[in-house]
Amino acid sequence: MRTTAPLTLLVVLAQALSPGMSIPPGESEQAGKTEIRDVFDDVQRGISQGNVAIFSPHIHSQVRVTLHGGETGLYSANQAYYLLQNFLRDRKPVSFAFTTYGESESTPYGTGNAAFTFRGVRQHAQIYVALAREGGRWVIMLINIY
Amino acid sequence: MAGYFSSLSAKVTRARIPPAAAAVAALFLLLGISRAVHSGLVSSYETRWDQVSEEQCRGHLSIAIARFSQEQQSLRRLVDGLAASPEVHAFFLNKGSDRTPLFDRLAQLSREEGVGIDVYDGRGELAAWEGPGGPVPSGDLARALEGRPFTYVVRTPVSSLLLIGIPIRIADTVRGIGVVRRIIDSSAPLNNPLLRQEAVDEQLSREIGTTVEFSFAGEGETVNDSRYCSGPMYGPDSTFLGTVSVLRPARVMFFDSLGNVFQRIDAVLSVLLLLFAGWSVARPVASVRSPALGALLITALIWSIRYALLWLDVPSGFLSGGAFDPGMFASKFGFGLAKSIGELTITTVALSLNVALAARLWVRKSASIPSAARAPLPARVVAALAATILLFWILRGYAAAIRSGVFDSGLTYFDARVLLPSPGLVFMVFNFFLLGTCTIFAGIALALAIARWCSPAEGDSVSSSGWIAAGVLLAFAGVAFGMVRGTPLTSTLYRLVFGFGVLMAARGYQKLSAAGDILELRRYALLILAAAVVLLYPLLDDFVHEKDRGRVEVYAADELKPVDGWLKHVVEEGLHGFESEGYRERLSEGDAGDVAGIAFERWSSSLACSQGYDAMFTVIDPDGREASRFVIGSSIAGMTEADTALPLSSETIVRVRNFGTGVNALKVYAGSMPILGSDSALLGHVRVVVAAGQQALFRGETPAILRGSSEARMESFYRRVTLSEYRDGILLTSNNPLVPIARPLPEPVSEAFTDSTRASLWASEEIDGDRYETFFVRRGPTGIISLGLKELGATWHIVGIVKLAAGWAIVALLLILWWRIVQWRRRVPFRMTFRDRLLIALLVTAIVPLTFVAFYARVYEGEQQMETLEQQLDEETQGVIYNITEHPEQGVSVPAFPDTPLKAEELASDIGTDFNIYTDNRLRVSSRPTLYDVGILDTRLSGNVYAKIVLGGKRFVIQTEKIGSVEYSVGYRPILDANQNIIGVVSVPTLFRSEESEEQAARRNALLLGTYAAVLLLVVAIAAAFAGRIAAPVQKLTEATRRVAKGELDVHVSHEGAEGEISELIRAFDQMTHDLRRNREDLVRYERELAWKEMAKQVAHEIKNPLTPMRLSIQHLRRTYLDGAANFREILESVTKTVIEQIDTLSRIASEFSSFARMPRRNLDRLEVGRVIEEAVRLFGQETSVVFDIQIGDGIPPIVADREELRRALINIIRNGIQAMDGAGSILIRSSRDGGGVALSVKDHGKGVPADMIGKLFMPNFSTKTDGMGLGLAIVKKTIEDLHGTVMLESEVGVGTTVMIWLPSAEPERKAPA
Repeated sequence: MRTTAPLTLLVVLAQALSPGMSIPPGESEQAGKTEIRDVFDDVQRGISQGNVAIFSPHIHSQVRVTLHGGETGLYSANQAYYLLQNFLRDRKPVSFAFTTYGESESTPYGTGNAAFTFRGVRQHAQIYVALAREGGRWVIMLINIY
Repeated sequence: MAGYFSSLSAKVTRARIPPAAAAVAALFLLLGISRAVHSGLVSSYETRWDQVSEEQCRGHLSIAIARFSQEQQSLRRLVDGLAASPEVHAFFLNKGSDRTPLFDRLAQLSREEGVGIDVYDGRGELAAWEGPGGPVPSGDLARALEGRPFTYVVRTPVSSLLLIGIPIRIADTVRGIGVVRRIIDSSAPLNNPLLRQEAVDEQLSREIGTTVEFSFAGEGETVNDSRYCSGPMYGPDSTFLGTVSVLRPARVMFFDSLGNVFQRIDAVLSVLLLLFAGWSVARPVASVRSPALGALLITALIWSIRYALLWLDVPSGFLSGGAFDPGMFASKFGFGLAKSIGELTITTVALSLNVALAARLWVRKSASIPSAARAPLPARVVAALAATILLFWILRGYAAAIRSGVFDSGLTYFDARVLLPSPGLVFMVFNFFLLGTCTIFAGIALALAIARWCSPAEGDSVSSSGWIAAGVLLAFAGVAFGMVRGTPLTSTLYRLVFGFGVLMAARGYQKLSAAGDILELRRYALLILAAAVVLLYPLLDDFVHEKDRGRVEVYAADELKPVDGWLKHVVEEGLHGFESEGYRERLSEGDAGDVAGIAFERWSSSLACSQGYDAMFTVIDPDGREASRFVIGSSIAGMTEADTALPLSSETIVRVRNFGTGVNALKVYAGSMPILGSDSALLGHVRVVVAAGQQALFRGETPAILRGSSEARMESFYRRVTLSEYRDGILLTSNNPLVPIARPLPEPVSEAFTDSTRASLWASEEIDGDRYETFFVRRGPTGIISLGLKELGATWHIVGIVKLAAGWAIVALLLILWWRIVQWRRRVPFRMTFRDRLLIALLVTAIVPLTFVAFYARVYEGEQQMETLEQQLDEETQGVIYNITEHPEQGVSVPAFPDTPLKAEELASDIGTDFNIYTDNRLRVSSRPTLYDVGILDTRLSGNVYAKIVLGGKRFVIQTEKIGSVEYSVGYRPILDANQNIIGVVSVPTLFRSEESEEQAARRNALLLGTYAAVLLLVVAIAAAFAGRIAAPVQKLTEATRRVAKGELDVHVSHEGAEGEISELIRAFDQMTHDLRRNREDLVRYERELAWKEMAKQVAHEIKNPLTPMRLSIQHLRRTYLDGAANFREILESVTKTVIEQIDTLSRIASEFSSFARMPRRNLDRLEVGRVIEEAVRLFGQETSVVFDIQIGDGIPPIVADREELRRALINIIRNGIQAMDGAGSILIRSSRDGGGVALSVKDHGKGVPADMIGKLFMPNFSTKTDGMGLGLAIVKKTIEDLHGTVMLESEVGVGTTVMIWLPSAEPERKAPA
């Protein structure tokens, strides 16, 4: 007993510190989904508050952006930040929430309706955000505000 | 009021308030006023908002209506002008005359005015036409022939045209009708070059600043939207034409825009406030004594202003497009310092200003880098290591900025398709140039410091071992820095070359600055600018290449990823777009002509369009009939109805179907949705079909110019991308026809993919003799797709360097111009050496004819290209006619036109040429019907072509046509029957070949640029060599003359390389210096003798004076002693006192002569004159009867002088003044800035000097005093003149004397005032 206790403790510690051994596959998938949902939550919060900085850390280094009446193309994360920031500066967000999620594929997406005030007039836009796995984390590969 | 301000200004001046401080106060006041006015206006508008809103909207409405009337009047004037033209008269008055001049006139009018124009004859038949048009109802024509004009609006799927028909009267008789059409509004939101002709509603919206919409629906229809105010628009005969609606100013919008106006005013005032505040702070900062502190304060000041501008959002808040568009470039560096090209430019200018001012301050204050030579060795080593790390860190920052300039921008740096760099590119190059120059300057300063700290010698000089040690340190650091993870620096070689370069540059700088050769230092600065290009190119080239590869990988990922979610979204977006109120209204009205355009309009504003998918948009009426349809892309066009059909249900349905296998695999996403009216009645169904797959993107399948504005697609690459798919190691398909069928996967790639864990790799491959760098990526268990980029050869690098150099040259020219203006304002003569002048003359002589040759070569090449195109179109039209003709027997041909667009498309695909066939002057069939279907292209045969082919009998016509902003060439050829009668016309347009022509342009430009760059380089090299060779002897002579002028007569100029007159000149110069040398030796000898004689005479004279009283005193002493005088003791006392006094006099005489003759080593330093004056006056503190009045002016620059020597000169002058006033009175000492130097005056109120003696006062030995040697003012004059200054004296007997001195400031090239 006296000799096996430290060994047992060591094994338990090793198991606890090793993520591959300690988290069952089902839980890992669940963790991935949570991570995806966290990204979408940040996007939702960022767009609702008109603050791109909330979700800009999730933007991939090269991202496709399509903005209603504005820019369309493949941009760097820095460009996307300022493009979206300028877009949201001109259009004051009134409301936005993702209504549909597609999380079962390797490119999860979320889409929903947003309302903005643009030059004093209420506008509606459909927002589509797609993610991809890059460097061990989920990043935004596509943002469409249309 | 003016009087008040002038009196206030006078008070401010009297109160000595600095102007900058006064400006700051005034700006604060203005800011307060602005705020108060804003609040007042808001309050006033709030109380009567309804009235303000109505007034504004009505005002805008009346402007819009008036503008529409002006459009009508302008079209009427156009027809009136046409009616009065000789061509119209000739046509109507001379029956059966040739109509060709009339067609030519219409073609000219159509081109100039951007209208479609028709002329009908007296029977209402179309006689001549040009531009877009269509049939005019016969009733309207009949009314016009009765003298009544008509006006109405014609609607097409993409636009509305204002149509005006006016009777053409000649001698008060109606002879015919002129009909003219112009686009009045554009209903297609597609951002396409074909539709870039701005319509009237867009112009009005922009001018008025609110939304203006035209509606050409039926009369009496009111706009129910309360956000708009509307008014009717009428034709000349009060015919109702439509309604114009103007968006009413919303309360929030109105106050927002009012706030914006005041925000801008406040921002401008704040920026001015900042600048004035900065200016008032800058001057005290510049006078800080410590260079380090001064540099720090200037840095803090500049960056405070820069960040304040960012905080105020100036100028980004004012200018959102162009250089301030983040779509062009944006980086998050420095909290927004580079959030656009415009902001980056402001930042780099601030950085350059910072570096320049800090360096200037440093040089002015201390003129050297702090020497740590006396510090212990470990401290010096640590300092050198720290400086080395800092140097590479600066280089890393520079590289990171260049990387960001490539990766965070949409600029194409080395695109050979465009010959000249775009404005964005020039801006970016300017930024890179400033960053590069700052990096090199910082590098030189740090390299100097490192070399000095590595040098074992004391003092400022750097020993050879110091330079070597610095080199070793830089080399090691360069290699070691490569180990830093994430560094954007590219190769070790680059870092080593940079280290070695800055070391050499630092050494060169030190040598030149030690020699004090300003001209050479300027040339050196130019060399640094050139080095900035060399520093940039490899980095830029590497990063551009890296970005290209990154983009290819992104595209590869696009090709591989499952796209179901996205494409379902594209279909849903396409469907839901039909739910807008506008579409519902049009569907409920059921106007068949109007509904027909809906499918195209919806597609043009859909994601399917902007993302470039093959798509089909269909509108089906409640009876199940197709009301509108638009198809784009061959993959869907080739499908059967059954492939794309969906049940029309009451719900939205989206389904996915798979077609084909392998690389031809295609997924079709189809959706349908009912459209319900406001009363829930069914208005119809809409169906959207989108195809996805490797072959499905409509590029190459449909006109490229009909795509959306997305630049992210693969086509936006400036070099060809080959997309191929391999299955089981064998090529299945490729978009590059040069790739051989069934080509095996390259062996190394095949081997690499035997490793099942490998997902992708980059490899080099050869296709049809060209090298490609290709990205291979696994797709499924046996498939591999590859995306190959054509490798860039020498041409690429030449184009890259030349385009970069062109941008650089523009920047350099601007800087040189600025420098010349500064010099001109400072009245500095422009100095240019003989070699420079010769080089410029040679370059001008060579480049001017070269430019002419290049210009004419370009013109000739353009003509050749046109001829080639003409020949090509001629052959292609013949080819089309041959292929649409049947040959039932030898020598017999029967035209057989394709009866459907699909057959025409198949035929075009077979013969590789798109074509259109016209019969009866109307389009019969086209292999590219899309543009005709949607009304962008006119289905009527061009009037000009009709005139030339049908009337003129020409067999081939080529003409340039234009739609929107796109110009293209079209070849026309008549189709003849067996009897040689014209039965149709075939046309081959180049409209669909934009990519092909762009590639040709790129190749041509690369060749041209490369050739001219090489020739230009050769010309510059030869001219430089010749200029150097010719100018070398002259330069030697100039240098020798300069040395002779400095007094060096022992100069000999070599004859080597000199011929003719130059050789003679050198010989004469040598002879002259030889004679001068001999004469000078004689003169020196003579002067020496003379001086000795003078000196001996003067010394003898001066010594004789004290000797006489000494002799007399001693004789008197001896006699009294011999006489045994009783008061001998007293006499002894008196005599010894006299003798001692005379000995003192002798001693003083000796010391004055000594100081005059002595040439002490000067210790020059930067001095503030005021401080030296104070030190000199302080020595006269015991002179209680003298009052000193010292007046030191503002902004006096420092001077270079020996402090002790200058102080002695001042003491001499002051002492003379005190003596002239007999020890009592006042002395006024003034000092002020004067031109490029310092003026100093000392005024006494003494006896003064007679005018005839003033000129002699500065001569040695001259004195008005009894006890002086007459050397004081001579020493003053010598001191001042040695400092390159001047000294003058003004005096008036009984009033006083003023001594005036002028000394140059420490700044170079300043001259004494005349």
